[in-house]
Amino acid sequence: MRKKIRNNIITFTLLHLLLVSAYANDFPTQSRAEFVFACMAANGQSQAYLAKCSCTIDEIAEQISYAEYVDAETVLRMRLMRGERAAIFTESAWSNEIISNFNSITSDAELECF
Amino acid sequence: MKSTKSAVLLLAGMVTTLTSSLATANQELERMSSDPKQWVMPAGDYSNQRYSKLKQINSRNVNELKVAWSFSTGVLRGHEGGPLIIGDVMYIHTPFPNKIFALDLNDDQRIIWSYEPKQDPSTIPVMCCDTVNRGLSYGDGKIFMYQADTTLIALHANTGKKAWSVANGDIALGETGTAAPHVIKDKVLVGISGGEFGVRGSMTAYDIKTGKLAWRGYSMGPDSDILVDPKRTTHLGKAVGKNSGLNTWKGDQWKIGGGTVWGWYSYDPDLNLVYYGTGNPSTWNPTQRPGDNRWSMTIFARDVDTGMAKWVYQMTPHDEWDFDGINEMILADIKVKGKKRPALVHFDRNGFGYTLDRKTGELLVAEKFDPAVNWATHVDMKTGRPQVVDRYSTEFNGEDVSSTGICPAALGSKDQQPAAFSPKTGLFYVPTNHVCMDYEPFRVSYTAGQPYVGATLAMYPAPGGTHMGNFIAWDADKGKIKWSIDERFSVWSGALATAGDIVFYGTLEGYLKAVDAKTGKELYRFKTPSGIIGNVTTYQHDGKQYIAVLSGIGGWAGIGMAAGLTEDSDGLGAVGGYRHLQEYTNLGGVLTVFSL
Repeated sequence: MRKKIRNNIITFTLLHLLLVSAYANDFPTQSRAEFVFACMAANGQSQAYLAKCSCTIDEIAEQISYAEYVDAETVLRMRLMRGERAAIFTESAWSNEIISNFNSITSDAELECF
Repeated sequence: MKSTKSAVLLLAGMVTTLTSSLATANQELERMSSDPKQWVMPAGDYSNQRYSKLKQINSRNVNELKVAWSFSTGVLRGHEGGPLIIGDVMYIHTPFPNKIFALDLNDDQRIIWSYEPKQDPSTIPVMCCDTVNRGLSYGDGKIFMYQADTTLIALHANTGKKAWSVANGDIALGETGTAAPHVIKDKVLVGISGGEFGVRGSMTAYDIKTGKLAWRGYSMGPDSDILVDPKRTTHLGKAVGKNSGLNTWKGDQWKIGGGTVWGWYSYDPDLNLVYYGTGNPSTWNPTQRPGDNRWSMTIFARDVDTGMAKWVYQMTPHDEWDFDGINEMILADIKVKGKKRPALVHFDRNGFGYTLDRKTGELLVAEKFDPAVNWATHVDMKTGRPQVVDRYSTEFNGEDVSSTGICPAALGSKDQQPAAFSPKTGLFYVPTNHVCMDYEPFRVSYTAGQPYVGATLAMYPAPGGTHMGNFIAWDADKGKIKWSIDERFSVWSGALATAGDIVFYGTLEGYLKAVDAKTGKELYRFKTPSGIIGNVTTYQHDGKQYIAVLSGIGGWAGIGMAAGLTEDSDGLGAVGGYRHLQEYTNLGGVLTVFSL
């Protein structure tokens, strides 16, 4: 009986760890810094925007995994490509879903931080 | 317009009768290509294997790879191809406007010279698929570039000064240049792009010293244009017969027949043959152009000196899906069905991996290299014809009907990004697409210089999958996948295999990846500044092995703009903000160079 409870606790903890680690804080510092650089370039090179932009990327990183972030970044970049090869990124339901999920997460993060 | 074309034709006819001089430039180049410290031609060597004997970086230490240096090209848009390394100098090219940089590897990559051609900006709208350029070639002390506007230029490698230039096509007809020129013997070979504009494709050889036209072989048209001998040129062992480039076309549709040439060309010095593939027939609406449309979608083996075709093999007769046959031909001597063969291995857009005898053109193996491929059940080995499934036949279903669920999509199970071959493992390493499509052909009329497409497409990842690409190891004897890595996005970067038992490739996310050549196990990844559609290259300098790859697609993804540009920016207002942003994002394509 006792063993079973302990097993359950272990299972629960493992599951919890898995869930959390899949979504939080797996963004490399370089990628966060890159976001902040671009965000400040767009909005302002000041202490205030350093705080707002850092807050935004931290919020995003809490909501999605780095792999998901890279997916969205890739689709957005491919959409800037010319010609037939961009079509799959601009028109497919698959890529639209990636972008709409990402947009809702970033706008939540911006509301939170700006 | 018309007079230019006929003048070129006349010239072609005159020059083909002249004999070519002895090939000394080529002996130098062949010697250089056997030195693994340099990378002297687009694929590293004439056999298109993209294999290096260097092994300082290997499967045990590749995880310690670090960025040694990087170089920003300052040009946005897709960066295909890769640099050349000739002695102590690296040569880098860019997409339109087609800049060239010569960097001194002995002096912290100081720019020795740079070159930017003046090109008519009206070239850009007639480029179907981004303003890419697949790189440079070297030979006879010169660097060659095939510009977007179809000008082939020869620059002195030491100074960047122009030696000669020649116009190969006419942008007013939709003819453009995207592929790398290839130096073979005393000639520089260039193809032509513009299949979506009703261009008639060709391969042209120019004299390396003067830029004089030596021969031009069209993909379709009269025998004298396509340079075939009706009695001696063969298709799967049978003579092609008279007018083979005319009699599978309706009327004079061959004049706007497509079959463009824009891949990577390989060469067998013993057989004196150059190998390449031709693109889709124009238009994309198959109903409008009945017949097999020879020799679109065809592997050509031509004599380098005369251009005369020794053999041809049409992979996709009467294309209904835009499955261009231009992908590279990899020459490798491998065992096929127990017998050692001078093989030619080709991964076609149509999803079949072909193994042929490159001496005779005999078809040995034709199997699907992506399990999703469904438009044909198999290739009939006697006739060489794919057995098309009615449901996925856009001709069978007819004009203005959408044929759905066709795999692969128009960009093919694999596009131009070249595969690699390792003689050590005997395996081919292939970057692939795992994408399907709906295809609706419609009737179009031809106007010179205007798009001549005639189909609407929708593309999406293959069913059941959440990934758009695979990176596979292929056994060209058995026609089977040895191992396969799921890639979230299509792999559009050229592979590199090395004697260090590793294979490199890039991804659209921007990762340079190194995997174990035997197992496919990932050993290293590094995120470069943009997506990678360039080809991985290696060289050695000052005792150190380097890995180099171009990244750069489209531009900056725009993530991080956050609340936008409405707020005051350092007192400069939105304009100042944009300026900052431009400084930040205008870095363009980047060559990243790695070492241990």
